[in-house]
Amino acid sequence: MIGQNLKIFSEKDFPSYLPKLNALYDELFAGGKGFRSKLIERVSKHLGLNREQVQLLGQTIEFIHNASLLHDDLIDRSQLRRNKTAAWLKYSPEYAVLAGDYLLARVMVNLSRYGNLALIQYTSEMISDLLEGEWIQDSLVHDWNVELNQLDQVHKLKTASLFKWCLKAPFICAEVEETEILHLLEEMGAVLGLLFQRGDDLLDFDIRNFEGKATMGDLKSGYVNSFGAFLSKDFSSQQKKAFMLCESLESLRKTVGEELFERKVREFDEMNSQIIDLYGHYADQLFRLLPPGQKSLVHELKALPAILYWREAR
Amino acid sequence: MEPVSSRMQSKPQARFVTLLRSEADFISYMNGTFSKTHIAIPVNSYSVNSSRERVTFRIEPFGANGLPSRLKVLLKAGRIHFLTLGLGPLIVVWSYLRHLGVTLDLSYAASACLALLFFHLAVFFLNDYADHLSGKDRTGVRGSQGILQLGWMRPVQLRRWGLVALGLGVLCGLPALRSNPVSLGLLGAFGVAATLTYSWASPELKRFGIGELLRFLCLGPFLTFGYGMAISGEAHGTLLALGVFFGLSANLIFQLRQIEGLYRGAGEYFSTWIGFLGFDRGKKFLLFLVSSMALLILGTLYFYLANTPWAILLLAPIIVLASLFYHLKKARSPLSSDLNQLWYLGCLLHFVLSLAFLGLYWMRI
Repeated sequence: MIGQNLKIFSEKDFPSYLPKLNALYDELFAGGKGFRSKLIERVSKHLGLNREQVQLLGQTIEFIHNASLLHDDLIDRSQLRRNKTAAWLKYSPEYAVLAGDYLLARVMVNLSRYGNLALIQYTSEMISDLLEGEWIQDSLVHDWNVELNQLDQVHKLKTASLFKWCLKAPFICAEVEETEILHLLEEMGAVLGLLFQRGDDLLDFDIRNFEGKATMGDLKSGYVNSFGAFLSKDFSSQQKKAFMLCESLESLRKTVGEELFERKVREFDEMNSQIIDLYGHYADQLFRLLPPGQKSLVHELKALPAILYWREAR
Repeated sequence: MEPVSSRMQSKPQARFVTLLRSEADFISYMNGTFSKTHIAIPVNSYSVNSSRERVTFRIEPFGANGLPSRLKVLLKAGRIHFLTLGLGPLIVVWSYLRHLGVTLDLSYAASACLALLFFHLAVFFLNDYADHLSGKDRTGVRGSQGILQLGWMRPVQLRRWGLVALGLGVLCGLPALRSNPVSLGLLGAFGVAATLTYSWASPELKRFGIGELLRFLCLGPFLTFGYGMAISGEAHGTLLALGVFFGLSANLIFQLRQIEGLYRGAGEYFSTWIGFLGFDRGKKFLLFLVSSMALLILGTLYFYLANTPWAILLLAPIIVLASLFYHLKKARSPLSSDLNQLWYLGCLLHFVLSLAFLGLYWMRI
């Protein structure tokens, strides 16, 4: 359903006596691209994990990710999710909250049945980070003077923690204990999460928006995303007011000025290119540490920034 | 090109190098002495300040993007905005004593002023160097944009500047000590003891406000009283009372920095009073502090300076306090932009307070 061969959601996993639950999940999981579970598959194949382990990890990350989407949409009062009516609106806010909670509970049930304590601990910490990030992010709505390094703290918790998990959890599952390897995977996951978020934030300004996603959603919701913070950093209060009131991309580019806008995009890309260089350095270090049978993983990992930030074909 | 360390020779094109703290090259990279042409800027750390610490450095040619003037480097490294903490009370004490008609020894005043300036520079230079070595400047939320992170200076050079400034501070301070060696010696000893106590105090003690108390005393009543003795040779009780204002506003600056850094990545928030209180109670405490300072000033105006010419100048700090109150009240989390650089407003408060008292006494000389 989501991953090429992974079946993330099955009606058999959830009780049929709970009204509308399976219908809600069916719609939720049907629309996703499942990038995170695909990442799990990519990493896992180099570690020799069996099908059940890959299924468990893929399902875990998609459950957690989609639980956060259910909650996010309600918190933000977003009306659409993946071009369909958001769950809280179609069913009810109560069902959206409970459905998200149920996914997280199911994660804990599945992991505890599997029995890898380190994996349970790491997953619990990741969920905790995710929730902290959501809590803090809510306090930044309508904060028009927020700075990029402050948003990065939120993204480290919300987005990066999931990517870190995607890289590190398969190794924990494979019972790899070398702390240096695990630490490097954390660092690489953090960078990937940051790049993914920043690439996503650029999409909102129609930069490399190859998928034709709706734009200006963040600004209209009163949220300054990472590129918005970078763009508006040196604006005067008058410019900021005009920036806040922009309803469309055309009006925003006119308000900011085409030349300034393009220059800021180039500077943002340059800044993130340096982060990609750092990621490459970590990947080289990982290559030296991995046993020969796993070194090919690094080539896959090195290709990820191009996909996540530059939005090149997967 | 001058050969660099063997680690770089094996990877001549490498822009990043990762080292463990236990490795032989580590200190040379931290100090910037590994190469005469390149500089190593820490960009990431794991297990900061532990024996397992791993630091990733970005290697770049020193001065590749152009270096600012020495003056700009000095002003940035020297945190000139904090100079008000020392100079402000000094100038107020001087104007108060002049207003009383006390005979002042200008040479002692000048030597105290110079000593203060050099000690101020020494504290920040050496503190920055120490934070760089320990990794404390790599743990904050907002990161550090000091001169070392910007690659404007090699760390070892900053340490040299700090030691020179410290030596000059001692030399300049000695003449002032002659005016009243016993009392000033005691005050100086207290200051040193306070610094050491704070440095070595357990986190539990720090959490319960020992830092706040020491800061209040050393940057408040003891500072103004000590100045008065240094430049007049006499003890003036009123200077202790004046010092209360400066002690409170100096403390406020540090506590505003603490609430701004009150985030899980900010390192030592557990060992501060604001860290102990947490965001909600810390914010309430600061609002209470700001309100109390405003009431203190208004009370002083009403009860002690009611018919005093120029006392109206003390309303200026109240305006700054009102702005502080407004921004604090709006802040919804430690990451809120309302807390951005709020401590600058705290420095402005201290500066405006100094100017207000200076004007108050100067106009009546």
